[in-house]
Amino acid sequence: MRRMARFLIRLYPAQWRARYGEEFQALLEDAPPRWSSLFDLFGGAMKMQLSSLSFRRRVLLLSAAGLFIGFGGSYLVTPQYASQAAMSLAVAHPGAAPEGSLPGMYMRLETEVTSRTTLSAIIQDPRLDLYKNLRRSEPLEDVIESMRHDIRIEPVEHPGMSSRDWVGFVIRFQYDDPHKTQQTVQALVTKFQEANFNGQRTPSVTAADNDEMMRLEVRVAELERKLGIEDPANSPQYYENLAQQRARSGSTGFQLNVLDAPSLPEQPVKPNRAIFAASGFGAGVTLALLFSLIRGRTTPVVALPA
Amino acid sequence: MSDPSLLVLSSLAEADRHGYAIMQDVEAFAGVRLGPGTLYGAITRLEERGWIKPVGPKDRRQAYRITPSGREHLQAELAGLQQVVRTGLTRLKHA
Repeated sequence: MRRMARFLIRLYPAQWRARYGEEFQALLEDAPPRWSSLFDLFGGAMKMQLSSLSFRRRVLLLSAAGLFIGFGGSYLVTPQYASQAAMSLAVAHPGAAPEGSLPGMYMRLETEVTSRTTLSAIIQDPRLDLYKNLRRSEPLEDVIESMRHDIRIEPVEHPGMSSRDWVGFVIRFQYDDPHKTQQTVQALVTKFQEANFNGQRTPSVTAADNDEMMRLEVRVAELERKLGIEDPANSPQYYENLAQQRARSGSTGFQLNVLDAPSLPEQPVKPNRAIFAASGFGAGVTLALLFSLIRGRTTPVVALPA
Repeated sequence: MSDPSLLVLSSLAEADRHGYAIMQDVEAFAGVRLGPGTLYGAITRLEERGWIKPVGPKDRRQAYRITPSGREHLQAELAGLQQVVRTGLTRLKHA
């Protein structure tokens, strides 16, 4: 500990050590340093270094330190990846009148896909197993709410397409594992297709019926997985083929298409290291100003005879 | 009262002392153990402001003495504190 104390004394400004170094050493010989003394020595050295600097150098030093600490601190934050897919919902036969309006159908599909049942099934899907740590400490309802915050479903416009016949939208999900992020967006795309297909199969179906159907579908998927049976509905083309068959049979309704398949994120979207570094820089400048204000001066404090 | 500068001045108001003696005295009368960095930070500031000065031969255990302006400063600070203490005690009594 004495060696550590001797090292810490060397952190004091040379000019200060020339004046007080000997007696400071003598004090440490009389009062053997403890752990708390080492922190006190370090704090004292930093304050003395800052006091010995001119205002401009103090601002430069603290802002540079803040910038590096901010940038380094950003590496302590778990990276988040984002994957997105684009889909479109259109009237299958523009001439024919489908049941319900297009915007209404879009809202219905979105509500269904972000429902408690759907998200709970995705979260607990053994292939995804999302929010594992959060699920250990928080109730499922809160985990579902977290997932809702990480999902963005936003309509997009397409020039030349009438909003009466066509709705385009983007599904975006953010998570800490790039592959699971992509797989989750794929699961959401599949849920949209399922919901569209099921909704048209049984137009009078209630939300409770849908929940029950989904629960049973999850159960069936689980059993299929245990028995090693490949679920055809896992294929992205499954619902598209069904929809095409339906369109060929001349039925009215809505056609849901995947415009862009879920992307595999390569770079994290968070943390934004530039923002972290800029915050550190700002904190450093603020600290330098506060330090100078508290000390009541902006000129060097340690002005001792050499 | 935990301002290191006031504690050091209060210690030196009684007698000239070197660093370790100040540390022991402060611990005895105020129950505060000043760390070495804190103590010498206070000594540096007080000497810069001319409130204390080194006395006796230049030694590894350098003794310090409070100056007249240091006494004046201590007097003013303690009078302010006394006013706060008196008010606080009076209000506690009437609460």
